[in-house]
Amino acid sequence: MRQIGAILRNPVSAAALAVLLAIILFCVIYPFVSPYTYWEVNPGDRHQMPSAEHPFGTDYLGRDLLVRMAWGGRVTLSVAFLTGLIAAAAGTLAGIVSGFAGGFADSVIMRVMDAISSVPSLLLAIVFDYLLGMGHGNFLFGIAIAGIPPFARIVRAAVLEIGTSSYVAASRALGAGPVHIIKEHVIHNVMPLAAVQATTSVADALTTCTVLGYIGVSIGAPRPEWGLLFDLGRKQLRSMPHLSLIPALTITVCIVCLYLLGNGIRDSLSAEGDRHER
Amino acid sequence: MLGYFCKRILLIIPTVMAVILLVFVLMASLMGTDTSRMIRYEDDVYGAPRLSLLQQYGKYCYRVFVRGDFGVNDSYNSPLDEDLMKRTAVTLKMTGISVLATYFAGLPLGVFAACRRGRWQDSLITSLTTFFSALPSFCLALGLVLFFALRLGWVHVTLQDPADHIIPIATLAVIGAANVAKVTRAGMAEVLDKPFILSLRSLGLSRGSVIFRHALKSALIPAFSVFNTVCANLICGSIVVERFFNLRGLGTCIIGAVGSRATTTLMGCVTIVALIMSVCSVITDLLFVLVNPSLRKTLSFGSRLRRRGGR
Repeated sequence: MRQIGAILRNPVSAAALAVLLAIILFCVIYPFVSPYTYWEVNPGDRHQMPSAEHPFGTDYLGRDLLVRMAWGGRVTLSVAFLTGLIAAAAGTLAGIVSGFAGGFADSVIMRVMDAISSVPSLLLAIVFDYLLGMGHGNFLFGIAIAGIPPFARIVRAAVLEIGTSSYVAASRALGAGPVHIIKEHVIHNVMPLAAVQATTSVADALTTCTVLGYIGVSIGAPRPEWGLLFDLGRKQLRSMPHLSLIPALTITVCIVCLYLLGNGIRDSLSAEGDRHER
Repeated sequence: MLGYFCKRILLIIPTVMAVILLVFVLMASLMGTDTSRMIRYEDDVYGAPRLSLLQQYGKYCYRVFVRGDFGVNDSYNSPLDEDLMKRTAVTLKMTGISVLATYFAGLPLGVFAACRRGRWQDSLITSLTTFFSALPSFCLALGLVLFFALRLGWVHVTLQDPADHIIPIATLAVIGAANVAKVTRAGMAEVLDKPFILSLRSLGLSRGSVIFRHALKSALIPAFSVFNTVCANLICGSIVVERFFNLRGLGTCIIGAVGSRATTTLMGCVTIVALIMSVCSVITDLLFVLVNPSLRKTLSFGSRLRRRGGR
């Protein structure tokens, strides 16, 4: 709680958090409020420039871009956060096991992580989607798996460092088992690091998800996705650049906010660490 | 040394064959694909001869490696190899130039940032590199096109002139350079903290000579150890960039093949990408030996190359 307060006191990260929350709230609420739907085709309203009726204009089928952005944000952001969190959970677990067990299990887990990180996340997601059947969201597995290795590395390094510290030795001397040590010492120390990495991981997942939508390996056609919306707008780049500019800017804003948030968390944590040392 | 690299180059073939086998088995088992289509000839109107999976695999490998024949395009019933070669040339030209540009831009930036540690130049470069390495490449491509092609009119969006290709290349290079600069900065910062730098400075060597003649050598090791990753990222990025600029390269070929389930085309693309990636990993090792002389001795004893400093 105190850490959250420290993050909010930093104006940059507070602003980043506010923008992110605003975008999320908009995506959740706007489809209920808007008179338009993402699938309804309006041949009379094709290629409208932004106006009071359609704040972001309409696409080649006369669909309102604002409501499609909101629906697309639901897909893109939930994929990004979901895969980011799955990667965080799995990576933290793998890192703890790897750092704690050591020896053979450690080297096997870390070699698997090396293997995963040697394949670009985009290819991994395409392969998963292609092999497991397209249009069923199987690309999620690819994105989530690609996010695991950095977590595992960070957590493993932290676990190894904590394992050599004197308070863990003291705890062991008092008869604490590995479960107690993990619960009381490791998790507490690893959580902040994992939180910083989680923002990076969500940003990466967001990138991969939009790129997949952009190249057409994503959810089915009528449902929008930010990358897909960008791709649809690309064809009218000269006459109506806003159709692809708006999704691209939204994606960029989200990624920048996630990074600023991560930086804010890191800064507030290092300030915290300094206070403890003094 | 020479023997080691001859061995590495020869090892490319089994590596690619293993990749082909993996894809064959996965396609046949998970997707139930009719893999016999991949060894079909143009005039096989009644389908390919019935063979077991292993025989099909053997025949495919034989045709690819011995005769350079990638089979028949599923959609047009025409030989694939000419089309694939043309597309590979497009992709290789683009990614090759952008890999060079990546290192020419990324190394100096990383070194500069490390030398200005803690000052505003460093934080500027660090935040820019983090930003660009996270940004989807199509956002960057859009920005470059809107600014240079539509606003300034310096290049054509349709890439009519060879000079217009600077935009897709720049898109890839910026993203690659961000990665290289990040790694170089970290490596250089680590080296600059070492005591031998301080002792060299105290011996009276100038700052520039310490940085360029002594520190740079060690800082290059992490920078070149990510060569493989950079190449992989640029090949991935080329999928996006080719689609954005409607280039007929491998990337658009992969997208089209995935979309239309063109098994033979996809297999050909996978084989070529695997081949490119294995060559890149050989180049990575070569660069590694060039910048890290201590490995030369290790190699001449015949032991295996260990990736040190890699991430």
